[in-house]
Amino acid sequence: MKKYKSILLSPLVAFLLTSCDPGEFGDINVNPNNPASANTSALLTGAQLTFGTIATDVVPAKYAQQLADVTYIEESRYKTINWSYNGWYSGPLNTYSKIIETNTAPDTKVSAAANGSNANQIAIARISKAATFLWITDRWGDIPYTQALKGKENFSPSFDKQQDIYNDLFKELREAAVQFDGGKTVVGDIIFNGNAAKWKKYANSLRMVMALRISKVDPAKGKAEFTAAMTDGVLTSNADNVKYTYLTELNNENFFYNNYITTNRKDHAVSNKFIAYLKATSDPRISAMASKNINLEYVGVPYGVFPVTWKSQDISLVGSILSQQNSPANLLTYAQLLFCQAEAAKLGWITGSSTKDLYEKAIQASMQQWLGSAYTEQTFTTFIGADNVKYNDGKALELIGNQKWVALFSQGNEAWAEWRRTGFPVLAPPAKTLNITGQIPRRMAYPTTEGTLNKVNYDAVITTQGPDAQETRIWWDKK
Amino acid sequence: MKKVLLSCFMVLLTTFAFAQSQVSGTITAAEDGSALPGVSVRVKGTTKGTQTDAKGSYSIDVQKEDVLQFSFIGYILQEIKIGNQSVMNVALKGNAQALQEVVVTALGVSREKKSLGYSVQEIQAEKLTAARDPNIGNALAGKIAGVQILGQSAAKFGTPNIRIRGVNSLTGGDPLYVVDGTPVSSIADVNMDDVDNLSVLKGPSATALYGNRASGGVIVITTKRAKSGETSINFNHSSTIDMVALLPNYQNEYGGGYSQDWDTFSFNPAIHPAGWASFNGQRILDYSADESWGPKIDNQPHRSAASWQIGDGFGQLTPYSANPNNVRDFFETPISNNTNISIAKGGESFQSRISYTHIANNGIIPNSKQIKDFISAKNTINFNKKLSATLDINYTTAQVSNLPADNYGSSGGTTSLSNSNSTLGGYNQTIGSFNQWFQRQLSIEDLRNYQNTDGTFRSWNIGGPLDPKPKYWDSPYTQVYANTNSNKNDRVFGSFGFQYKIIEGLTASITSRRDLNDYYGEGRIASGTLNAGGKGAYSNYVAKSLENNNEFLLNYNSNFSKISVFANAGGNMRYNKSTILVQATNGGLTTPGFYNISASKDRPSVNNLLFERKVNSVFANASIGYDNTIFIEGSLRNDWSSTLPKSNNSYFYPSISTSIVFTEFLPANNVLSFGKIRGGYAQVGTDLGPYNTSLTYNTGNPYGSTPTQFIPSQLPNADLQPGLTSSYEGGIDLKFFKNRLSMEFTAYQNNSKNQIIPLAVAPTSGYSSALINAGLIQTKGVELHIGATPIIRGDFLWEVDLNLDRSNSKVITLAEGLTNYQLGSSWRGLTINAREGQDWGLFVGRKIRTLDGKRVVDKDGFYIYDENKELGSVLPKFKGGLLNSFSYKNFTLRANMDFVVGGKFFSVTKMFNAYAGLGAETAGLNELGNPKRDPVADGGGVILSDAVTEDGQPNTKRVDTQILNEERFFALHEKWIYDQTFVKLREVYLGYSIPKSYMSKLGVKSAKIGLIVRNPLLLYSAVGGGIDISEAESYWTEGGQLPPVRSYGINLNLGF
Repeated sequence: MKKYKSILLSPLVAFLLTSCDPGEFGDINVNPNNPASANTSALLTGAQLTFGTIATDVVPAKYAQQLADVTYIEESRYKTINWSYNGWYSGPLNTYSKIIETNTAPDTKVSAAANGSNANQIAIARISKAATFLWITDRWGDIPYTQALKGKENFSPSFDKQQDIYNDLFKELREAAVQFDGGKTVVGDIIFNGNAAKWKKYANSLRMVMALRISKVDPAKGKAEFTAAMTDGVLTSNADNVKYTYLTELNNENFFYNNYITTNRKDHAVSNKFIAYLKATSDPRISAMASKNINLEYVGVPYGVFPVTWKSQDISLVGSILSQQNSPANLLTYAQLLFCQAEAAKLGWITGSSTKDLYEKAIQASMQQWLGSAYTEQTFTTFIGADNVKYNDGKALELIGNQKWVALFSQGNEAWAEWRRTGFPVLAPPAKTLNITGQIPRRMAYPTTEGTLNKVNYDAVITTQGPDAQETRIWWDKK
Repeated sequence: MKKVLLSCFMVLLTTFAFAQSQVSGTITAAEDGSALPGVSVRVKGTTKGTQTDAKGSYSIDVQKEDVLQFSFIGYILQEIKIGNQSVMNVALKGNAQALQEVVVTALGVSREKKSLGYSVQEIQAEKLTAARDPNIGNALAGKIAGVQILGQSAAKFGTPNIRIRGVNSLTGGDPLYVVDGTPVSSIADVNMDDVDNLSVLKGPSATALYGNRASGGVIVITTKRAKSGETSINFNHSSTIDMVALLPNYQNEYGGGYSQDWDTFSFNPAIHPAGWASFNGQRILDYSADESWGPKIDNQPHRSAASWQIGDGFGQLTPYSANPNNVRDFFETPISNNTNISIAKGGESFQSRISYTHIANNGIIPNSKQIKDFISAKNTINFNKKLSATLDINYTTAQVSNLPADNYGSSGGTTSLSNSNSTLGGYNQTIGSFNQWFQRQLSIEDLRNYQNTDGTFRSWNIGGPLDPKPKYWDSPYTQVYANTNSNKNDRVFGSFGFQYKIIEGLTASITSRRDLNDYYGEGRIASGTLNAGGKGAYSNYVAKSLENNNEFLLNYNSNFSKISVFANAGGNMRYNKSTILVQATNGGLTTPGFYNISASKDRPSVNNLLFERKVNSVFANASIGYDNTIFIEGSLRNDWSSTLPKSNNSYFYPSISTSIVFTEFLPANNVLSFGKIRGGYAQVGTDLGPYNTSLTYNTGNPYGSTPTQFIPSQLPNADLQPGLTSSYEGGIDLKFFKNRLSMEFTAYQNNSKNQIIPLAVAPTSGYSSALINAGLIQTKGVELHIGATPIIRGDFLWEVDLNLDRSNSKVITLAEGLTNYQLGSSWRGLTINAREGQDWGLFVGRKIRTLDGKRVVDKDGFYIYDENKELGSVLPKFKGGLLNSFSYKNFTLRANMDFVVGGKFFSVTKMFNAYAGLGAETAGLNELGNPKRDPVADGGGVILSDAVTEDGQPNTKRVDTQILNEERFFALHEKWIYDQTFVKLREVYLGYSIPKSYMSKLGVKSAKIGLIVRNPLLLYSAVGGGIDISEAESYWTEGGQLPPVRSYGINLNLGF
């Protein structure tokens, strides 16, 4: 009998012995599936993937009437009021902050330097972050900025005024551009492959775009920032164009390719208003910007018309140079900056070149950009001599606005911002919209989570900026 | 008290005063003639008694005048006057009501129910398995008060989610399933034919001994074991024919398209083959449309999508006619079989039961099926009077071919697997087409031919005559035959243990338990079909999981005169480990038809994961009773969890409860035969999953060869505390009229503090959620169970069980500065929330504006809505079940119903039935007698007549039906939120016991034959229109459900 007792008792004793410290579990709760330390180069690549979204977002292109819905006629009738920027904060913005933090903190900066000098990494992260914030504030207006991205220190960030954000972005871009220290080239940068000179030009060019953006609301500041940016050096040729590169792989394929080929949906096509304008000016760029329909014609999809009476085969999708699996997407172009300069010259902000010269140079750059090897001087001179294109100083701003709108095809976010600022081209909303005002949106309303998760600050921003509606004008969008 | 003293005195007297004689005999179960060991044999009015031995035999010294009482758990008490008999064999009759007397409680201990200070409700196998539902979870519906079954369509072969006492935590949570003491992670892998009884431990008082995993309650399943003296073979077979039970009401007046205008084929020699010239002018539909706003059906010739695809039908004109049964005809009516054979034999020193079940479940969706095999062996060795050993082994395999998807859209390949991908579901989505995106006129026969001889796939939804590529949808037959998935699950669970009787009443046991699971799944997308860019895809998934529990337990059970003591103490070491390997091709398959990761065009994605956790526990429990009248019980437990931050990983919690059988103090009467009040207080702690206390970085798909890394959007927390639920529970149990009517009522309140939840925070903070210990969630509820035997007359018996419960959870506080916890979100900003000061499960979304209680329309006659408005809670007002059981001679009839009243849900099916012009409500005539779909100018359209204009005038504005349904009603959340209220007849069983006289010659001890119906009737449904909310995919949304399945069948049960 004793034998059984000891058999029974020995596990008990073992249990009690091993249970001396029942709360000691060693490393069992250390995650074996993910690293605990940040790899700043991989983080940078992951965050920069979102530049693809910045470059190809079709919603503002639909507001600017360059594109239109094919089957589900929603955004060309302004259906969605609330748009979410949440993923931008919890995604790339938080990541850029983490890269800056990792390259700053004494205990992590040394090992982080394996991916490029700390200063170079911080500079790229700051410019990328500023570009992302700029994209957000231009769409929503006042947004969380100084209190944002603080993790558990602040789960309810307050909103900053757009003017303050602009001021800080000017500063960030200026400082970051001079932060490159000539040290080890940054690894994992999929925009410029660590090329500091290109990043500087990009940062300066963004400042130029921003400076013109505030031409109405704060011309003095705009002029100062514009000339400063120009002095610091912006894009100087189409070779400098800033593009997001897509790859010939499913996970990183072109947005339009995915929509046209991979999923076969064909949701977005060139609007009839844009096609009509190209045809009216006999614009040779139509062959690059649009595809022919099944009957081998350029037919824009009726803008904002519902119910639909056409099929995707009947209308013009965007051109094939925009919709191959690895077609790059434009983030910032030389032509765009020349149009900025043309307008600045007209405003008297800059001297040296005439508005006419800059306007024509801008069109030329755009035609070279779109037509590539098909470009000829002949097509250019014919085009700039055509009615509605030919420079006319009395209508300079309208001509610049219209041609910039064409040049900014595929840069819909810019086209929408410029339309809001300048009123050009003159766009009319469709007869039946799905928003209450019946007007083209002038901003995007905040994500609904602001009303549920950040109500106090949300209520506060409404009292200062105005109703959280599409028609509320943001700071720089002055009547 | 006097009575007891008196009877003791009487015993003494009788012992001395009268001459003794002996009576002996065997006690058997009337039902099957098997010997009943452990039957209490008592001389009435005395404490003198004995028990039957392993063979059911007893002997006792008696007087002629004595009356013997034979009582046993689950059987009707019998009293027999002795007279001159010396041999008294008794066959005891089963009694379901009497079963309530002893229940299985925590750690599998059978306790007298009257000694419990908390609510435990038990159900016996015969009631559970009435309609031979192969899944215990589904079979529980309506049978236990306070238990909610969130079922799914049987077309998915799935397991329901089970909620006990409503919402015990912010996020809800399934109960812990314990089979013969062993925690098992899936109730679907427990063999229904092995179940002897199932006991539900609802609140923390009852579950305290299970500790931190029992916050969702515990379902304790006791399986059948061989009894000493038993020799039996049992054979149980059922065959059912399964069919679709319910479909939405479709319209059959209009076909596919976005516009009622006909398009005609226009021959263009530049693009069309010369042979197509003769097609010029033929009517063509918009084949690229997956909606049914097209031309009115007129039976005139038209070109179908099939007529533009190569093969026999090419170039054919066919009548444009209605096919009202096209969806119904897609579903099959297969026969499914469920066969069990079990063999049991037991002697005094050895009892063993072996059981095998084979289930072949053929799905109503073509090419889908599930095969399950259950093997179990339960063995006990009584080595001597002190030492015994048990070995329980259960082995369950389940093989599923082509699990159908539900939910929204063509990619609804939803799996519950973590780190899954869409290919694994195989895109086996058909109902998402039929109920959301379809052309109503299609003939299902035309779709059956889904592949051309050249290997290309055919679809009803193509770009146009020149573009036969599937646009939004493959043929449903492509989905089920070409885009296939399969999975196989092997589970072994059981235990191995020794019990040693140290002294009388004190037992020590040591048990090692394991639940081991092995899952393999794969999904295929055929090259040339719609998804994966038409390039094909393949993915597989391997998951292994293990849970070990090593348990030591001391049990003490003794009576000292009037004091009874029941106590136990022990410890448990738990270890969980799971590994996952998931792989998928990327960018297509290099060789169509070759389904292997090595066929990946781009670099395949591969992810391997390991999760481990440990929990150590010690616990003790004691119950002291006085005079079988007053009981008090308390327990203590401490857990240490590896998943909590080290400084907070130890947590302690107690429970205390009491019960008083007050009828002992009342004079005996004919009305109230038993009454007990009970009350208790308990706490239970909770932990969280592994690796949530510190930040780690996720690896993403590379960009070319450049690696990517991401910061998770959820912020971990190194300062987490264990969650703690405190619970108060009180109740009263009453029995009337000699137990003919019984009632149990319980009221409870749970205060859940410091719940560990991923709280949604403003994502502008950099994280969209943060793990925190959140405030206070309060759940209050009441439960009522009424059991009655309204009629016993001769051979006729009618028994009724009614279960009712109501539970309401409120968020009292969340965290500082935060008032809302988002539980989920759906279409266009609809969210479900736990909001401070509100009922849990609050819908927030678009609400139609009202003026003096009436809905308001704009100048065009459409509803005006406001964003972010509260739209009601998902919590039902009350719910329950009604079980009726009738028996007459050899016939038994059971009918089980369950019901839910109140609570909201959101219906995606209804929304898209309207959007895509599929639902009956989108066609037909308006109040003027004109077709609703005619232009408003021609007297068509409809008026939203329940509404007023913004200035309060009645709305008379006529609106276009298509614009209304496709555009204005889409994502108008309030419109698609309905009451859950339903009453469902879930199971019917009609059985006949074949008289023994016919069968005994064949060596058959018992034989029963039965007719079964599952899911016969949805008696009432507030939403109507073919939606069965009792089978939704989640507690708050019907996201595109598969239709419910109805089964008719026969059941044959033979005992040898």
